Amino acid sequence: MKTKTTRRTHLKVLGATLGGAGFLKAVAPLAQWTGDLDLDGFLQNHYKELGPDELASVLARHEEACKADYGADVEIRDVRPTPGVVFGYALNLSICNGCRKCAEACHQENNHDRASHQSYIRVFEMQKGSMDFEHGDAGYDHAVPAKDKFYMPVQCQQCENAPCVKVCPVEATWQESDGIVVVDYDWCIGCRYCEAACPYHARRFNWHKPEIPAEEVNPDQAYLSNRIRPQGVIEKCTFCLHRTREGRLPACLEACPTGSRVFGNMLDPDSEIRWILENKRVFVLKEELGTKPRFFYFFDE
Amino acid sequence: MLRKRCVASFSMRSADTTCRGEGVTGLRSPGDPDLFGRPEQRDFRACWVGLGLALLLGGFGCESNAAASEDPGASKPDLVHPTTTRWPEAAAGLQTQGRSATGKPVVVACSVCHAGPDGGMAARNPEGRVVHASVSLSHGELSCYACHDRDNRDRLRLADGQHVEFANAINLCAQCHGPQKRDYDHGAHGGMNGYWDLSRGPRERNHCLVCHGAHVPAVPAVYPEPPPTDLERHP
Repeated sequence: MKTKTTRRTHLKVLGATLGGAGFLKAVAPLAQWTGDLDLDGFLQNHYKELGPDELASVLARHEEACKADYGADVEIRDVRPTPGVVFGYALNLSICNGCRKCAEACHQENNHDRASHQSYIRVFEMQKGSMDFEHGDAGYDHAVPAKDKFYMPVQCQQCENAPCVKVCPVEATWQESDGIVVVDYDWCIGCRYCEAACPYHARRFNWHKPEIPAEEVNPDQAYLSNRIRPQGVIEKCTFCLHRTREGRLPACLEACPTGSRVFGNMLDPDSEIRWILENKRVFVLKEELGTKPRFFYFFDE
Repeated sequence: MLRKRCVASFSMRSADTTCRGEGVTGLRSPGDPDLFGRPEQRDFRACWVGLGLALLLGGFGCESNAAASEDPGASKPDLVHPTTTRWPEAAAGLQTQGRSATGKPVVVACSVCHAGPDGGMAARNPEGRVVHASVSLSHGELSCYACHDRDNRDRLRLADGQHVEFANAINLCAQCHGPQKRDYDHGAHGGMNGYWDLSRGPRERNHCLVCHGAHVPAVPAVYPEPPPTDLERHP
């Protein structure tokens, strides 16, 4: 029996062809990414759901990838918060001279992209008598301190009530028990909602794969902090958790030649940070937003 | 308690002139006086006695003690690592061009020239102030003998006549700069390196003179590190 090719069949074939072509076009970019994406990475669980063995293999995989991509032998650790520790940071604006040594130390410690000279710290040059850091100049390039200016380094404030955490649609960023807001770079989808939500401009987006010469890669790395971030994810200051969770001071504090930075455990009544909070007139940035920062500023009386 | 005491104490430097200019002080040795000139109190001894007592009690088979010893936090001795003081590179004494066998700059003690109650300078150095030509004093209204001991140039002198070693010059500074000294003692002034948690590692703190010159204490202007290049993208 002879089959008639009906109008309906024609339309079906046409629809299927168009649909198929559209689908192929839509998934075409995936073909370019296969070099970067491996199946293990694609199927990897959220950091909080990784078992010990799984985590060990993830860390090993990242170490190998770093060796392959950057030619650097690194150690990526998983450093957990210590119970009974909540970190606090204070900064003396009377002493800070705006030398940007902290930003430079951050740049190197946290394996930032060399080309953009990125850092988690912005140092704002502020007019004396004004406290509005939106009108500060972060790009100053002259001898410091300049007349009638003071200098205000701004980095992640590790807010107790962090807006960036709330807006993340995939829970790729969260606050840990010691107050540090972290990002699982392998879970982040790069939507940049958190970057927009942060009132302190503390988050950065990796527009490109970071470029770092092998000999400049800091090999002392942690999964949640300074391991080299992939392209297309958000990154932020973690108070150098790979250092501070092991009792060491953050890199920005060690680099500060003026001693304007004070860091410590806010739950320890004998700590330096507690002395600051109890004896100096500290303030936080944009207090009216209710973000409850754990980063405090003060002036000497 | 241990931590507070540690923060408020400073290491002493060896008086050996060949060591001067090394830049970094060693750990405190037993019996060195602390900031206020008192002999250092050995806090560790109390710790070990306490630990010994705890172990002794644990030996009697008390169940709660056995449980406590499994907790890593409870069984750890309450050890406090030392806080040392970084001595400025321009150490007390006269810097010379010479270098020792190990490459350190040779510093000549002041008393090599200045001996005797009159300073002894005229007899040994008829040219007068040439040696100290680089010293310009711009420190408030102070004059030389406000800080230097007229009778012994190897040490300094407080306003009340007490003697202070160069390594303890912080005491001298504190006579006028009380608030800064108070902040320093509480870790709120002066750079540091090492550990915030002294139970896990030591700390090194800057001496006043690392940043402030004794004769010209105002910190000079510096050229900053370069800013990021993508401020438009990441304000």
